[in-house]
Amino acid sequence: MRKKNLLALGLAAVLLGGLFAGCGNGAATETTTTNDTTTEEADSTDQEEPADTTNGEQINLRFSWWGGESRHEATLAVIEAFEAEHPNITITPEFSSIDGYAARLTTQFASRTAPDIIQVETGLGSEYQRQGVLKNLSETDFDFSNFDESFLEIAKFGTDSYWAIPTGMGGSALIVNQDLADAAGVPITEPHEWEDWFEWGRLVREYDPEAYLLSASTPLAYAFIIRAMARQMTGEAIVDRDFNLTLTEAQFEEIFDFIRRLYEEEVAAPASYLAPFGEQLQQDPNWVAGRYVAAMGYSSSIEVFTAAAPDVTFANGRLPLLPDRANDGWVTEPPQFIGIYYYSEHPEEAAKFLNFFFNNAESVRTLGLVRSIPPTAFAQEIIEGEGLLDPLMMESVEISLSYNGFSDGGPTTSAEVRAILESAFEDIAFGTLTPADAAARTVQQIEDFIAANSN
Amino acid sequence: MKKRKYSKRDNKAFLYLSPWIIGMLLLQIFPFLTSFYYSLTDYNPVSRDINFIGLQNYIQLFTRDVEFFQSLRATILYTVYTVPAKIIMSLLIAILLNKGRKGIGILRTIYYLPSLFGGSVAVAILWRVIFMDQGLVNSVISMFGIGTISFFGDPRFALPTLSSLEVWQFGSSMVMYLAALKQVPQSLYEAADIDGASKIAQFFKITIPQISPIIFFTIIMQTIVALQNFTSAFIITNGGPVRSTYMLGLKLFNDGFNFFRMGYASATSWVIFILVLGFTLIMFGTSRFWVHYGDKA
Repeated sequence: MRKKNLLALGLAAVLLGGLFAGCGNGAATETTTTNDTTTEEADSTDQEEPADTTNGEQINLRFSWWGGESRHEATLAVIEAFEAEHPNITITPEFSSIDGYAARLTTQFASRTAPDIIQVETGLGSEYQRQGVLKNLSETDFDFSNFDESFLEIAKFGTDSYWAIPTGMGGSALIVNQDLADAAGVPITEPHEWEDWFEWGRLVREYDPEAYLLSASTPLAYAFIIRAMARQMTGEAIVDRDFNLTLTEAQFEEIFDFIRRLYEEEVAAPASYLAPFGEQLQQDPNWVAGRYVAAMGYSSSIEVFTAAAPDVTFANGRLPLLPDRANDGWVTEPPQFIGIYYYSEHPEEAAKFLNFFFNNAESVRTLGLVRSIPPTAFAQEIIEGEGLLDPLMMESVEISLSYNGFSDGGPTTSAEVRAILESAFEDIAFGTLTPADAAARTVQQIEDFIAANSN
Repeated sequence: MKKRKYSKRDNKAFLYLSPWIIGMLLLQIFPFLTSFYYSLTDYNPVSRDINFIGLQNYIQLFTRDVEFFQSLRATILYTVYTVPAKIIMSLLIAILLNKGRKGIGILRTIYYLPSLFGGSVAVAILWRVIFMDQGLVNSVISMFGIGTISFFGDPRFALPTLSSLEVWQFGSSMVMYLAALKQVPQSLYEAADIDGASKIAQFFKITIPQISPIIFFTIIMQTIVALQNFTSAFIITNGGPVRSTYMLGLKLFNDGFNFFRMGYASATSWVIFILVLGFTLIMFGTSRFWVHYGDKA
């Protein structure tokens, strides 16, 4: 009996072992023995460059990106055209949806098997640069001459070199149902302040009890409101590049109280209703039926959101401001970056491909708007000439450009800080925390993040 | 008593077993031990920086991490919802299917089908569609004049709805119960009939004790599975709303793979391990009072 129990206990223990297989297994094969040396390599600035191996030798590059069907098709077509021009270089595409994309990259970084060319989430660009996994593009032959220099600042991540290439131009957007806005008497397409939303929210509810001023689902609204308001308050990112928390607990509370009022005063649709849709606003039947005056989103999402409600006339809203502000807070940002993996054995060939990708007229034509409005004037002219430029998307970018904000890309846009802010937003929207409690918790969590990352 | 020497035949056995032994050492024991080492470090999988920090990860988990306790609560509640419900459901269906009726084989297959899909992504997506605001379940309840329930938007309903997916996959336990029920000697029931015992008394006095080793086994296995839940929480709710379905497995994944804190994630995995181990030891400790093995005098 006792033996039987012991045997069963042993078997249960073996099964439990499976629990840990997902935690560091891939990395485990090498890191424990080589960590000291690899850290040195990552920190070193004068690491020996791999020799040029193009002398007739067949080279294979891997290129990973996320996106939808149209982006996949266009990117594959550009790859095919490049391979036709460079028979000694083949490119293996690795594409998927965005779900799990960053997590997969993490495992590839851990095992040093990341693709040579990587599409990078905007917020993670500076994080990857700091962790030493992006190649310094200023040291390659990539031609930045077509790019606007001031826009390119965003790709320097606070250094003097370029580490990634912005794939397009975009920014936060208020996508407005012009029909409902006019009917309810809400001038949201004119310059306005955050506080105006409350009066307008009341007007919309009076006009139609089933309608709301805003669709503000947590994943879309937290960045729109918290990060933009913080930039307007302090003129700084919430966590600056030196890992200082720039916003006080009282300022957090002020922002969180604004969010509480949005939901309590029925300016925004109930959070529990919107939660199942996440960022997929186009799946919300109330959006399709035109029951929101405005939705928070990004320039790059305008096409998808507006296509879901073909009977509605859409316009771009102006972005809200604080009366006393350090700056406007709003900024033009790329929807994503593309970079070269630091440990790529063929960075020059990767740069050659990226030149073809961004600076070749035929590639620009093929790619169209699959990564938002192209980041260069040269490409924009081509797209416009082809009649592909979506006027609403272009106007949204022009609106972003009219504000004097700055990108808070850096620790503020790291996945962990984003999750902390999103979590606080959700707690307030659902009424599970008071603004004061949410502010105290957020400060504590960000301080823990800083303590864990600033060394 | 003289010890028996190993023969060549015994050594051969090890040769045949070696693929499993090597696999277990490399894929289970090594990561298992490595994860403990990582839990004492600040290992970052992207930069591959690693520094020994002692028990700091564990201290932070228990003293500063609010989300850890929310995750712990969600995980324990999920286990409490799913394990008893799944065991009762599988046992009841097994009893119903333990009759020699016509077409019983087809019925058994149908009931087992959901388990074949396991923790698959496709089933998780299907569940999301069934329970969405415009989904099948809301369409049915609206026929009875009940308003739409936001199963995955309301924190009160999200965890029970997620649990129902796990309970639905009761097939593997059911098959084990079915096999166990077949092993119960008919003579015991005949004797009980002669003594005038009711069917309910027979169930509790004969059936349950006779299949108690299988009940014991399934409780432990289902608890381990429930405490490790990841797929459904990741696909259907991504831990929301308001972290009501933010299981420890999902928190571990986010900490390690999205926040680059593999040391911290490893510490969480060890907390799950201690939780499961503690539960298993308690179950083994109590088993002598209610688990009856056939070979026991």
